[in-house]
Amino acid sequence: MNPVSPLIHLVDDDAAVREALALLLGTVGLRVQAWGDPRQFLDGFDRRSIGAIVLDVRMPGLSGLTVIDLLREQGSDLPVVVLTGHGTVEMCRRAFKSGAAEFLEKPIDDERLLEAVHNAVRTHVLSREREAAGREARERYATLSPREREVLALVVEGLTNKEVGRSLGMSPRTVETHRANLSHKLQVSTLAQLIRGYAALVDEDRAP
Amino acid sequence: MPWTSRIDRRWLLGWLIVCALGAALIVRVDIAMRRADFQAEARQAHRVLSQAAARLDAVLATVALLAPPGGEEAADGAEQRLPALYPQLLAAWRRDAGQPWPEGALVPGAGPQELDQAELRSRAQPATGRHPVLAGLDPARAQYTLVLADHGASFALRVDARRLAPAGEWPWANSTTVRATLGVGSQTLVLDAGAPAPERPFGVTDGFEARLPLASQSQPFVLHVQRFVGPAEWPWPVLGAWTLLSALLAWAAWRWHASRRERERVAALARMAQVSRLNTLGELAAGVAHELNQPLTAMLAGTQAALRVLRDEADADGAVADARPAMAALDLAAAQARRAADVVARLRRLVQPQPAATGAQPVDLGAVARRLLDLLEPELARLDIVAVVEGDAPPALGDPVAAEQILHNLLTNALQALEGSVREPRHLTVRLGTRETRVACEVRDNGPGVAPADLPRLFEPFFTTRPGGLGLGLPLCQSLALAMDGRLEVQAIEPHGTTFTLELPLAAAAGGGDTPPR
Repeated sequence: MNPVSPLIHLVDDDAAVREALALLLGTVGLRVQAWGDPRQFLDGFDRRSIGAIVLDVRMPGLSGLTVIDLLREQGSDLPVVVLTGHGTVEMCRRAFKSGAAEFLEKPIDDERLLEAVHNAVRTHVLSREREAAGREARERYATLSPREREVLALVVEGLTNKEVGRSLGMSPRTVETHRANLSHKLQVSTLAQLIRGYAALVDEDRAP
Repeated sequence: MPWTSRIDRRWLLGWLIVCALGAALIVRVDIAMRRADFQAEARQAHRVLSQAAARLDAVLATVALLAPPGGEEAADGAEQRLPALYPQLLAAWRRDAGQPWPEGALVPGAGPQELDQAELRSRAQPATGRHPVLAGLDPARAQYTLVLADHGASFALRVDARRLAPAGEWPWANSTTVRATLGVGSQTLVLDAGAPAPERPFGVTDGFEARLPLASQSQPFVLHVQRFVGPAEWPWPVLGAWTLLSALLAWAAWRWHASRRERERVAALARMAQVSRLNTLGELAAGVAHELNQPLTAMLAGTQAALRVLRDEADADGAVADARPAMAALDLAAAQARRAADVVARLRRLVQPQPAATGAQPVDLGAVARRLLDLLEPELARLDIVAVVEGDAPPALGDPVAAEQILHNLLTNALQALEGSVREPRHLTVRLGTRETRVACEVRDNGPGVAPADLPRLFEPFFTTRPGGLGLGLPLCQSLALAMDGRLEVQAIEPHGTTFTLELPLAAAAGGGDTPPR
């Protein structure tokens, strides 16, 4: 888990709502940054932070739904929990279509809000971790020699050492050596780990 | 004012056309009737003249028959007494064989040769059925001579054509408009001179005319009758009555139409007010709901935050007993906040306007604006406002009732803005156009305008600059516009005035009702 606790961006034009929701989120140890103006929020929020966005739909100037669209355009991966005073089916449909994580009607019960925010944060942390893991795996994969990649590709397909050796015209012993090397380089100890972590990369490598 | 005067002018024009057509018909019918009368009179005149001519033949034949043959003593014969009996006869003569014609018989146009020739022609006929022969026509006096040759003697009568017809039987005895002539060959005897100048009455008719040959062998005249008909003879009293009557009818129809229009106008306004009331109620509920929902949200969240803090501390310290009443109170507060929120939500659902109940369909915003201006006409006239609709736009896609509601609100707003304006002239302009895939309808007034600070708040519920205003009209318009995937914007005009712009999707661009992504 990240050493820093997640940061929740709370965007609502009503100061009282902002304050109360911030208090509520604070009770479970979440850090909250409150924004009264959606434009200031879009200009100023920290895009690298881990956490979620809690967004009101009905705001003067810029509607919450437009804010989601702008966030997606700008490539933000922060999950968005949408709040509305008066939700219609149409509004709900649009919010989810734009990529909202959750759609809640005001006034919101603490349980539901906290659950939604927690889920959103968890999803975000996971996606960031997955992203980070993917990045590391890619770096490791890059250190493999071409021969090792060939061996890896066949191993991931489920071939035994013997079959791999026949296929690549080398002795099973040599295959064994390559396998040991690449397992070390990729920091995996079992075949299952190897397949789970790198099968996608192998496919990706061979595809083009 | 431009609206009424245009309508009134149309009515006036319509009446003039109907009146003229009716008058023309009346004149036509009148002329046709009088033509028939004239033809009947002409036939009567013809009959009378034919009889008169035949009578002369008979008189001559009788005189010839009764005259004693030869002898000087016969000079004072019966024929001398004829003029006294017949007013059309001026004189009668007898000429015995070998004798010359009496001096009196020799009148202009009837010299000895003419009389002799006539006598010869008469004599050339077979003895039975011998008829007199015409001679000595005098067009100036309308006289002629009839000559009959008998065995020994010949007889001549001098006839006044003007008195041929017995006085009581001539159909035009008292008329001055009829010209009647008797013609034979190239010569003409004028019986009635008639009207002096045959004026053409505006090409309505050339007048009446009849040519009838007399049924007489001795006097082969052709009766030629003409009557000239001019505007002077038109049935003016009837025409006057018709004009008056049609004017009265047109006026009554106009009054009826105007009052019906007024009734329709009032009904339409009432209907719109009703729709407006319902919509305003919905907007009111939505506004109240929003205004109450925010504090309720804050209340609930705050209370629950407090509850959580207390609960955590209680868990940690075990000081449950102290915190319990506070927690119970907070629970109660949270429950009541939720209850209030439920009431608000129920109220809103109850009066929620059914979105696009009639469905989206093509709407001609220009036609809607014109109809509304027509409805507001009395107001426009009272406030002395010049209202115009400019430009043109293809149909928009939307709910006609909602579009009408929006424009009505915008126009009424403009009217109210102009009412407070001291600047003259007061202008209200509706301009139509297209913006990309949208129809734009601008409603513009040159009233005092909106303060710059108020401009962004105009669409906020319960915001109003009018004393007594509810501040829901424009938010309602915006809600209606948004529900139709349109938008409503406001702009200040420098130096004074306001423009509201309603934009709706083009009916043609929307295709199968698919809303374009924004």
